[in-house]
Amino acid sequence: MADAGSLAAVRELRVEYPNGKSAVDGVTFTMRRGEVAGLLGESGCGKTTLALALAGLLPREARVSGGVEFEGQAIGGRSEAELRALRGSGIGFLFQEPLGAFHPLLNLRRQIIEAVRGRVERGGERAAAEVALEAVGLSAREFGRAWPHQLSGGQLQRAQLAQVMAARPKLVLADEPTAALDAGAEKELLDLLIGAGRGAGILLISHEPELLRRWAGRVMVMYAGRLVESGAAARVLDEPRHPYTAALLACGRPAAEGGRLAEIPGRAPEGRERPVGCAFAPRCPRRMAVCGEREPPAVEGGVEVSCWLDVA
Amino acid sequence: MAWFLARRLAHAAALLMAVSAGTFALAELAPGDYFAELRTDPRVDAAAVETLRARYGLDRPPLARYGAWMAAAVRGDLGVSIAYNMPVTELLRPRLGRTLELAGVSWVLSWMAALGLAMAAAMRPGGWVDRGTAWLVSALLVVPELLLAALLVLVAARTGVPRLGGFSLAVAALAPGAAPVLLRHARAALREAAGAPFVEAARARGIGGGRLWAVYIFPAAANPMVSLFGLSFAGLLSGTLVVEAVTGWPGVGPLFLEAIASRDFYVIAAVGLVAAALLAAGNLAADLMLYALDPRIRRPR
Repeated sequence: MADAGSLAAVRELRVEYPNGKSAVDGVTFTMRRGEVAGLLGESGCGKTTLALALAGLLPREARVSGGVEFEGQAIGGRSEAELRALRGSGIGFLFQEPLGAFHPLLNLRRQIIEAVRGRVERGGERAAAEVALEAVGLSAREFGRAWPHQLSGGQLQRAQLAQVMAARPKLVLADEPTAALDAGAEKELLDLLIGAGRGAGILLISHEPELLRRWAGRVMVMYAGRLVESGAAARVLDEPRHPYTAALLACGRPAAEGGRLAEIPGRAPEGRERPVGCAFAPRCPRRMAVCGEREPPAVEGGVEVSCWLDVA
Repeated sequence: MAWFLARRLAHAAALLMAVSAGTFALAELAPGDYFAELRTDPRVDAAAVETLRARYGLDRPPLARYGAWMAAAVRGDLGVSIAYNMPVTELLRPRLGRTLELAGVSWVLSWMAALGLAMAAAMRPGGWVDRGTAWLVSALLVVPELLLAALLVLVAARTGVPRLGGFSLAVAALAPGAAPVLLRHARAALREAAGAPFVEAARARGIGGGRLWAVYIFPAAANPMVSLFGLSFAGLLSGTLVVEAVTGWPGVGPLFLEAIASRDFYVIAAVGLVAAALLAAGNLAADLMLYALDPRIRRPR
């Protein structure tokens, strides 16, 4: 079970929405203290739902089975007050859209103060907010009293990082935190996230393999609500063993002649239309007879790849 | 700030001009004038009627009259009432005070009720307060203020509650007439704010309960409501016209209806102008409040 280094554990997690759409379909993994794990997959594969489940933020109508644990305690059974205490100082959430994460009418310092209230010594909230802003390279004098609409996307995302880090979380869920930023701002933000987050476990969610190669120690690849491959970032991204991982990596590289980007034929299954057997089989270039009949073994424990090719 | 204020003021002035011209034109288009009946009376000399019309300027072309009236109005002279034979401003002043008192009290009461109920409804969507107020709103929306006022007068007369004077009756008819629309808007604004991505983000920071409503949701919902402040006051004012007449509250309403019936020309035009001025003032106040509340308007980048 939970060893000393384990920070959060997801076991056989399934999340289904009332419209029949299954977003997460049996995912198991463990986050260790201080590690940077990457979660790779296309949009719609269930990455965000997985992160929301970890933070206990799923909408009420979502049907959840399986377990999510943080520091050895289940998240599912907690009351709203316990969850509130856990969010922020236990689990921080870095959202994709910088402008959407901030109240339009409150200045930045005030919003950071609200986020650290009750999590730092009473009376020290303002100082904590200013320290947090300075830590991400935003002068508290200049930006503390600024409103969100006055900042650039990159600055605002750094401010969001300041807000998250000010509460000193043990686990940071970063959901495509740089999708709205240009390359320069992306590097700046991730440098700060990995640097400032030293000691905190970070789950870095992205659809870009190159970003994870650079920043994550371990990568999990998600397809149609399941993990299909997991392992050290260098191993997964340099020698992919699952055909989906290989296809995803090929998409990022321009083809030799013509310069057109490769793409994966077909589309990912949605909700109830999940095929029998391996979900990727209909699009898989190396499909075998067994792929359409039985599910390959799930990625968990020692198993790194969920593919019949790998079993042989 | 100066530029913002100048633009809003210019806006208000244009509104005033347009509404006053409209009222003037409508009064002009109505058939006949104050002396129309006199003219059909065989005992009255046609020349005498013409002298009377000339005395009040009614013989001049409409455009010239409008110009002269507006020029005087700018100096605070709204013309003369033919029926009362006294300056319209003097006639209007005490009545306008009473109407504003009535509309103001109804306005405050309707906003208080609407905001309180909308908060309770929005905090538990689908709860009993939410369902109850939805019913109440639908019921009140189909009952016209006039009918409500008439019913109240009837009840007051039957039960013989003498202390329930015209004022409280009028408020009791006006506030429930105005509140449902406000409640609907306020609830919608609150629900929209509660579903905003920054509220989800605040929740992810561990902010919840009363603080989430007080610091995040309510201020965000206040913005769309502020624009309603001025408009709802104007709506209440138009409601007072008939409600005053039914409940016997001596405000502008009875005078205005009487002036329309007798075609007391300058009284009609003046009431239109004053109503437009109040609407413009309400809008201006709402704009200034938005300016104070919303940094995106105050500091665009």
